[in-house]
Amino acid sequence: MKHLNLLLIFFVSILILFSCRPKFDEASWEVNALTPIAQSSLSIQDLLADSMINIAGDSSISLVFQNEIASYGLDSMIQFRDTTLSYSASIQNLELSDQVFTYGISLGELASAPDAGIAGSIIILNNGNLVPIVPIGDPTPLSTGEIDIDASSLFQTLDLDSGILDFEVENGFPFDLTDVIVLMKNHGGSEVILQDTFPLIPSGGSVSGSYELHGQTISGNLIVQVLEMSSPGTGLTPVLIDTSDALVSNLVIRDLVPLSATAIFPEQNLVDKWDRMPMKGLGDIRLSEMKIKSGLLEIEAISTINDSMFFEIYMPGALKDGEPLRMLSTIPPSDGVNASISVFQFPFNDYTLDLRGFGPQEAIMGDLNGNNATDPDTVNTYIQKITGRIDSTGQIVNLALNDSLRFKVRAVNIVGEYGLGYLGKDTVHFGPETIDFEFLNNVTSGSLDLNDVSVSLEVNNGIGADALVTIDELTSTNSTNENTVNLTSSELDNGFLVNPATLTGGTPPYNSTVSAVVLDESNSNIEAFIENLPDQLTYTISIEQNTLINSTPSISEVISNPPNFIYFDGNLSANMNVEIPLHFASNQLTLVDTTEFNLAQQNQDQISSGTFNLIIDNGFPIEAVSSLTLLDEFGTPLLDLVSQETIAAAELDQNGLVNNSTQSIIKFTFNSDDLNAIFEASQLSIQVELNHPSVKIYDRYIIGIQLTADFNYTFQ
Amino acid sequence: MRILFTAFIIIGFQSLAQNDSLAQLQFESNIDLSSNVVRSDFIRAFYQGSFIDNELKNNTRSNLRDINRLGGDLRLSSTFYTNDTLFNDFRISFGISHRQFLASTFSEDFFNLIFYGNSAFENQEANLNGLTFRTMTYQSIDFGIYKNNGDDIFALSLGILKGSQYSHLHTEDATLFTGMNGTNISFSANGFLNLSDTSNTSVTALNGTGLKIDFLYQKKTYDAIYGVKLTDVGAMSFNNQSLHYNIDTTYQFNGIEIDNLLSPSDSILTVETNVDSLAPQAENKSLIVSTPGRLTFFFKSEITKKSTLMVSVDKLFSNAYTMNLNVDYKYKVSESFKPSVHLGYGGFTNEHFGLGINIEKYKFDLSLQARAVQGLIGKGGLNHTFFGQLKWNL
Repeated sequence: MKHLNLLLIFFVSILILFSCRPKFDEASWEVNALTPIAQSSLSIQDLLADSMINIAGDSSISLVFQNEIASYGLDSMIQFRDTTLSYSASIQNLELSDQVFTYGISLGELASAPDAGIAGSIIILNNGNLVPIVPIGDPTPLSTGEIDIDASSLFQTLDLDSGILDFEVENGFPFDLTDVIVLMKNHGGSEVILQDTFPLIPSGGSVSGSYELHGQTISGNLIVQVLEMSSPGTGLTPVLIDTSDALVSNLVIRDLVPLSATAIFPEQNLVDKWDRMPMKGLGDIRLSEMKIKSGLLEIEAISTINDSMFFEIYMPGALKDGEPLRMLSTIPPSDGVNASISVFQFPFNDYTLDLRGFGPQEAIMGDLNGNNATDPDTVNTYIQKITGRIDSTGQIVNLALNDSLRFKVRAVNIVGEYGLGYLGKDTVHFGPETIDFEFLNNVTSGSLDLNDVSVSLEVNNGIGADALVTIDELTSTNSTNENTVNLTSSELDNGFLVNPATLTGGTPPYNSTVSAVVLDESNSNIEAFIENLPDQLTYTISIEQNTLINSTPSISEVISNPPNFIYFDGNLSANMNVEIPLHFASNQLTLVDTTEFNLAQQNQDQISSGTFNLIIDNGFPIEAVSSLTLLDEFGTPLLDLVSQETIAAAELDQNGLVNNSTQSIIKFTFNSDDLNAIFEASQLSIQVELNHPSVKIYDRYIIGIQLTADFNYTFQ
Repeated sequence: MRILFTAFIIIGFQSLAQNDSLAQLQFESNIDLSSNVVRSDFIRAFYQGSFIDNELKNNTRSNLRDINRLGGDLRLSSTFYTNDTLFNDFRISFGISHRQFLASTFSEDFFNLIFYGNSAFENQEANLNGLTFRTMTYQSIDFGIYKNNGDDIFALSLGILKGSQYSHLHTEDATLFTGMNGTNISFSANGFLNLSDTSNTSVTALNGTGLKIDFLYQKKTYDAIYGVKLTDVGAMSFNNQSLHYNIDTTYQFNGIEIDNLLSPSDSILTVETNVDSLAPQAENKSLIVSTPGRLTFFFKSEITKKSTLMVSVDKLFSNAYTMNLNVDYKYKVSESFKPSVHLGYGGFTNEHFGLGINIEKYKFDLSLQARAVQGLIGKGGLNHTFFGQLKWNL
């Protein structure tokens, strides 16, 4: 029974454990959601295809279809070739710190030596006493034995091309020393680095000498030994015996020029070089300044040095936000067998380059390239300094004069943002080339009177250099009937001159100039050319630059008063403009269409209210009035989403062109009742009324339309 | 059933160990639903499936800070202890348990985005960094040993785990930008989402298996008791029907592109297809995950003959749960009735306080303790936490 109770309790426990299920998934709350729904764009090409365009009467706007025939600008005029500069540098000036050592031998140590004899015993016994010193070292001179000097914490080996060893001996003993022969050599080696004899070292005095170390190899473990040493003693004159008095030697190894060394090297620049980087691929173009739009500075470094190298590229004439270019990185050490090869890439974009070479910088900083003169200004050239440095790491490394560094500095994929200077007198030829000419495909029979169509050849010059444009050939081709018509005109025989663009300092920083030739029946066969209804044009065009400049300006003229400029966006383009007058029955062009409109109804009950935003970026210089109406399947209006809302026109610039669209936002607030209509609608009626003044409309004009919604949504 | 459930969770108290030698049946409950920012009335509405109105949202929004925490830990267990004559001085224990665990951290912008919508972020970027949402449901069958020699208590049990459900979402560098007037929405995020088998998410589902241990060591000195306790420390392997999503997404939506304004239908169909393809590809793989274990150190001492003070520090192995300090004062009114007061700081919330009672009568040792009653006293409270235990000496 007891076990039955236990079993029952366990079952109840299990039921309780699994009974608790929260209703998280039933919670709900309301949020304000803001989301894009749809976007589209509308150009005049879309409007032309619409059958509602009615052409009648004399109220007119002009549609201008602009076909670019040829264009060239900075990227095609100036094609920068990758510029490479190579440096190969061996380590010509390997610096090592001066090495200083001091050692000594006390009177007590010397007197205890086996060959000190009775004089040594007297000295030991009379420490602290005044006694006369008898002659020492006669007939057998004294010797100190080998004294180890351990400099291995500073260097292991020095293979020297040259160097100086300064040796000084201070006699701290109370008696003179004579015939002192000193020897220094590497530990374990037989080759003598230094051996010299000092006839007399007076008590309390010192002697010194300097010794050339040319061709010597010095180990970090040295041995110094006094091979022979005597003293005449003090005669009958008593002197104070102090066994701590010492014979002290000071060694200084200085002015070291190692062929190789395994040592702790001090911080030093192994490469320190200024150089010029000429811009390649410019031909007779002379630029004094340019700004880089994009590109890379690539450095390939090959090092046989057994230590990390820190290098810096410094360009005082390359400024970005007012700061000169400095690029730093580290070349890893060679493994002693294979050279270390590293490639670094740095972004070179947005730097403004002073292309006048060394001159401007040397006027500020003095001579940089070691020719003891301030270089004259030049063009197409920037300068850089490359520095290779090792730091004092405290680590022993092996370096040799035959270690080498090789740098390749490359400016790659350079694209200019702008250039100032002289752009040369090149003549650029375009074609023969065939381009599509499609706009007349949309012209339906009867909608246009081709007699009213006028054609102009227009050159838009965004470059700060004049240009003479010559149309060598222009042929219209109708590929349907394979008919071709060559354009002939007296206006084109000698070409036409386009003046240079002018700098404004604004945005854009230049004003383009436009030159056009209007072709009509009186001066050309343009009617036949157009009536051919071409779908292709074939052209050959020549553009000669700087025809108004007779001779190539000097470098000083280019620098002091740059005759030309060119911007990346400032192209010289030749266009064929076909202008078609449109005649409407009234002052308004009304476009109406009805399209299918179905929204999924699955989330309708979760949306309570909100606002539709119709965002229109009008690129047409025409004010419009727009209406959007939802219809049921029988065409019965259910809801006016947008009613007679005005869409602002885009503004024209001084050339009568639209550069920026004007945005209008039309808001439509809806509630839950409206939602029923929105979800029930099956058609959407769009009505746009264009109120047109007499303006030209270009085929590149676009109306951008975006529909967004700001609505209350219930999360469940 | 809800009444049963409620009744059960109110029967609660915390006991450290057995103290007699009779066979015993013990029920334990541990319910913690807390946050350092989300108010209890908000949690209650969410839990009960109610409508969360603006007042509820606004009250919680006023508490938001850079990093916000919300956690829930429901652990129910039933354990049977034999008497100590069965196995020398050791007693054997058998038990079953059920645990549902939730831990989340989220940014202020995340709360505002989810509960207010993206309209408030017009022309702004919502910072969704550091979002973590981890849930786990599992049951266990436990076998253990228990020894009390008067001064020292040692207990160790091994549990076989049955995993029902697991999910873990974590994002880094996550932002959502809403353009002016809703012209575009840009979303980018890095992170991952792990889900156990989504075709069977019921409590009875067997989607994973694993092992865990519980451990207790307690030492009694002449005037105090010290101890350490580990609970639910283990790991589970969820089967290869689990889903792993690697989230590395940058997505911009400007509205459906209608190529032909006058005939939008085809365009809409095309865009829907593209949106489907934006979802990260799921990878079916087994998932090995750790259980949310807990480590507790405690100290208990009689201040007077009638009053006892207990101090404990616990840490749940979750970044949403901070180190939790608890101080409990118990007063002995009689041998059978002992009320207590609780103060603490940490856990899923910050400060918390509560009351408890302990009743020993006949064969029962019944205790109740609400360790965070702010959520019950007023709507402004931030959390509910209960611990409970019922011992029945058989």
